[in-house]
Amino acid sequence: MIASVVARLKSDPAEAQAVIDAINQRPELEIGVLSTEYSLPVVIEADDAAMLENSTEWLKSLDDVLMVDVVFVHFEEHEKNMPQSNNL
Amino acid sequence: MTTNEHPAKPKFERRQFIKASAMAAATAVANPSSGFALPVLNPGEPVLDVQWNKAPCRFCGTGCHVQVGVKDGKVVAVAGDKNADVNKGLLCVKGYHVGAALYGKDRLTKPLLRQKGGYKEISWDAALNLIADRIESDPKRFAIYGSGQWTIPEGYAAQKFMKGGLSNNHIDPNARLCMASAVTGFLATYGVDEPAGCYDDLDACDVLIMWGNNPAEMHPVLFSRVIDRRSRGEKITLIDISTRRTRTTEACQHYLEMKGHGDLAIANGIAHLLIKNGKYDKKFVESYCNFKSPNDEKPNLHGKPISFDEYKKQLEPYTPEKVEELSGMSADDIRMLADLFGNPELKITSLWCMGVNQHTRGTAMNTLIHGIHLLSGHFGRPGDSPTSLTGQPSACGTVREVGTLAHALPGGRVVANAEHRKHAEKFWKLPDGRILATPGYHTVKMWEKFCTPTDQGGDIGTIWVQVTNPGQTLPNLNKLFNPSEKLDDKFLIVSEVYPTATTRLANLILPSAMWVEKNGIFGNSERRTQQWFKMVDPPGEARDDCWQTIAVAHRLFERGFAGMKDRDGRFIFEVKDKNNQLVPIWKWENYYDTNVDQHLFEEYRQFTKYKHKDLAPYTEYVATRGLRWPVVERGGKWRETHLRFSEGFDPYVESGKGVQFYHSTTKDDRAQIWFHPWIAPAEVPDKDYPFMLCTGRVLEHWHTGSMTRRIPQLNRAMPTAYLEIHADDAAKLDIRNGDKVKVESRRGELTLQAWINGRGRPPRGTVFIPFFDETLLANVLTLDAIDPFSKQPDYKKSAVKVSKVKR
Ligand code: SF4
Repeated sequence: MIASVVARLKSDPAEAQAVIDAINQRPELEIGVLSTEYSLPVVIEADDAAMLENSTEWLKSLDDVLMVDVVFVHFEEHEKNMPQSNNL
Repeated sequence: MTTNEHPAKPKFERRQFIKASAMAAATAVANPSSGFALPVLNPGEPVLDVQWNKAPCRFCGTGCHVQVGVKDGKVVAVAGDKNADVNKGLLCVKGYHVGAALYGKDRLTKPLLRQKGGYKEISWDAALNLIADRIESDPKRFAIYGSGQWTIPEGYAAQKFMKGGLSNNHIDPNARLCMASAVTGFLATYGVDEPAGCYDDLDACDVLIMWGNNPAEMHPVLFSRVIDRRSRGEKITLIDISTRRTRTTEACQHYLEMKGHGDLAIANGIAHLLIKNGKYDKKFVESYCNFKSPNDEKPNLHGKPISFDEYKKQLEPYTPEKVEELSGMSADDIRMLADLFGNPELKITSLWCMGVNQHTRGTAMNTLIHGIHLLSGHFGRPGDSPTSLTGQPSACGTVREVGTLAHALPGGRVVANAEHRKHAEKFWKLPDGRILATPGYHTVKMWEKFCTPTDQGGDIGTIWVQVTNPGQTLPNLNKLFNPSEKLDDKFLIVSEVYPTATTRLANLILPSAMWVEKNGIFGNSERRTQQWFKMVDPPGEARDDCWQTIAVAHRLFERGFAGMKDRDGRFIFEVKDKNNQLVPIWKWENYYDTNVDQHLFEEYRQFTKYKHKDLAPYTEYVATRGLRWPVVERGGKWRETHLRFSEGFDPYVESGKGVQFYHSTTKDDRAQIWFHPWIAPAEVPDKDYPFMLCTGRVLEHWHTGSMTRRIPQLNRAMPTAYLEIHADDAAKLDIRNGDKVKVESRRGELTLQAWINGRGRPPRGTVFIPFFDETLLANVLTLDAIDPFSKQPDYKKSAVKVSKVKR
């Protein structure tokens, strides 16, 4: 699965750089150009939606990240083994 | 829409291409002025062999618009719609799953009839006959239970079928369980339902107060809009008034903790200080407001008029110290709130949702929030607004506007009003007197009657459930749902997309189409009506709920059932094409020969002017990302309304009036400021049941999890329900993180794991359980006490005891 998100960072150049450095350590994440309003586009390449969510949660957990929003999700390879209900 | 055929690309190149598209989309949203194109968002672009089209998100009432990418008859991608005002290209993490939710392995694909030992597949023809038999045998004992996930045409068809066709008002939605008190609050205050403001207020307010509301998890994109302002350096004060710490708390400057029902005291405390300190807006109040208090002898939404002095006197006991005692919030914090409301320079928006609505004094609490805004004059300017949110995508559009409630008719009308019934009979071309004047059973009553033996007054024999899961969401399930299993003459029909806690007891299951497998129209929390087209086929024999209703109606019509004929003897859902030829929409193979949604919507539109909720023609919604009503044509253009009741914004406010509450219950263009006393919750902890239980939602799962629990990763991330408990209480009971605990109320018991210092942090003496888990039904514990006006239950305050399960 491939997705992209926008991370809203605190308006501080040093703190923004710290976030960018941290993201660069993660192989599944690729960053775009930081906007003048401290919004950072990030592409996530993941095996499944769990990994997407984990990466998003990790981004959110960074001290200088205020919010992470999803923009684009491509999930052509549909999930196998979806859980089922016992209610039939 | 266009289909783009391209030779197969190597997988790597293709993946790179998708990544580039993803980056372009995010860059364009992050930096709108960058000039980045959005190749993936432009229908017609030769990208990924995908067709793109717009739809509102399937999940919450925020009503974000998404672009849905379809390839080879399947949804393969979703992107935030940059052209949508609501979300401006953003989605919350549920966006990761909104497409995949269509493709669970156990989608229902055939009608199923319960027989001894299991279910048997039957034909649609047989299923329609069975339903028609049940109705024909006793039309008065038939009921429909729907939801705020019904599309507007689906709800409208069910409404017309029941009230206009069967002369039966037993139709109610699950929205009774989530926003009925918001409706009665608006009606009691302004004489007409739904917020005056809209989401634009979030961009303009200086202070945002969340009353028992957790938008960071439940309405994330709205919350993001606010946080985004902060990241741009704007100053905005966020205040979380709540009974437990949540993710919203983390982003707020102020977390003001209170006890359940403490909100009633807090609101009165603010009003008391505004008057005592001379900080209320005298001019606004004298120009635009009256005062009311409840009429205890005859409780209704009109109450009894009181003077300003009487109002002031009733508020006198609510000193900050008294309010601290009643609510648990400190007197200083109450003073701080009153000071904010007393500052005319600030713009204040209040948001609320289930915390205020699921409340045995929900109507009262809704009116009190409106009252503080009116008293302080924080009303009628962008950013100054009391705004309730909804949890479902069309709780406003389908339930509140179409009026799919037991007492209501479309467009703000009620069955008890003879003139309103006449309007409906005229628009529906029915003989006079077809619509009954007596309201049907509201949700709790409907299910209570269904679960009561027929010879003991249980006069509901058949319920047809569409687009909802009452077997999980009704309160006190051991009273309101489970007993029906043992009543052989009762019959439960469930239209669903997946097996659920409700299908567990169904006699007949009908497979339904969902989201972009059908045409649809939703109405979100800010009066925005949003349209989309069918993009993929439903699986197997799954069919639109709207078709199901019309097909049953026609089966009855074929049998000569008088109610299915209009006054000229024609089928009540008759549709003709451009050549005036009848389209047999009751036959599935012909249902999409015409746009049934458009036909139903145009008929429904006639109802909407009466309460100034005017809708534009269907085609206007095709061309836009939704429009906020009233939508009025001026200068050849259909224009939406951002702010109701305010001159310069609302086309129905007369020139020179400033603010005009033109549906005032006192018929003087004034809103009502209510006094309601603090009253204790219906059940409070005692020595036998010492904890207060609150139930609610979690980020990973949408409501009952019937869609999101099918996503393996979400299921793994949040696999089961749990009990949040304060560390001190846990230590006292020798409970450690992950221990199995038994939770008991006077109504049922549940064994589940404890979570201490987890995501949500309840204070001492309170516990929290989410309701998403169909294997651990939180609602066996909850109380079915209801608000006297809205009939909405309180899921936030049930007394329970907790004990550690010994290994
Ligand atoms: S905030 Fe609500 S409407 Fe918007 S993407 Fe999330 S679930 Fe969908």
